[in-house]
Amino acid sequence: MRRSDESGHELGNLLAVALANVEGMLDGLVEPSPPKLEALADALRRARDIVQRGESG
Amino acid sequence: MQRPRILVVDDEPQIAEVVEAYLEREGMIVEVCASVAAALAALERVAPDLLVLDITLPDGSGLAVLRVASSSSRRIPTIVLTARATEADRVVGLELGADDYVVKPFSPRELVARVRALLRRTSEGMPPGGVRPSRRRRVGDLEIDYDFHEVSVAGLPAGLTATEFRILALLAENPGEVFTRAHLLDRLGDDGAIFERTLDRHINNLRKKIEKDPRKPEHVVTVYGVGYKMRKL
Repeated sequence: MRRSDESGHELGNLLAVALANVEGMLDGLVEPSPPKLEALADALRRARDIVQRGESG
Repeated sequence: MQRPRILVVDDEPQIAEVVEAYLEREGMIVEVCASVAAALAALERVAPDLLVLDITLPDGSGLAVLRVASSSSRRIPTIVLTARATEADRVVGLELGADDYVVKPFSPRELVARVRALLRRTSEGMPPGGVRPSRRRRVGDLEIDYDFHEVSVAGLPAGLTATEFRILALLAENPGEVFTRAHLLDRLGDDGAIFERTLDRHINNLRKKIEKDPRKPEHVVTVYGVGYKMRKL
């Protein structure tokens, strides 16, 4: 239970990073620079890993 | 209104940066903190008009910050960022006095809309320059503080319940105007907490707390066959 709580929190944070930045790019407030896009891809990969761990566990 | 100062407390820099950019675009002055300790220090230093507060922080719970923001003499309107709606209900609805919440993962556009709405709500009646006039009303020996929901009689706190305060506040804002029971219930009973049969009891309890002689009320008087009014002095 505790582990799934932590995973849920982490997942929420990673998706919040992705959503905030993509909306920010659409609204012209975040520059879609390669490092920024790489950081977003990293957040989404970590979110994917959490989802996959949840499915296998 | 002066540019509002917003304190954003979130330990994820990639979120905080974007939120900061959105709020600054709205003309707000933004300070970002990433821990409970930094937030407590910033509350003193920045004197923010509004707080955006993540509950989960590396050095403790954001609730510790909320407690200070809610209890200081100048209460700071607060929007909580939380991972769970159930947690948000508890924080906003019950003991800790946050004003609104946004569940993660949230859209920064939605957060900005909520910040603007809460600023609007809390600055109603605020003149240009941003200094809020003291919303107090004095009626004889009664003093009603609308900001702090406090009533004193001859300088002593009357200890009204929330319902008693709402009844008195409504009557006192319209001195001399007679409110029928139906009208009072209509204005007060939006949440269904007051019923016609309990209204008289609330009025009686209110009189015990504010009248010198509750059987011969001088403030909240009965207009027989009609309802109640605040006596115009």
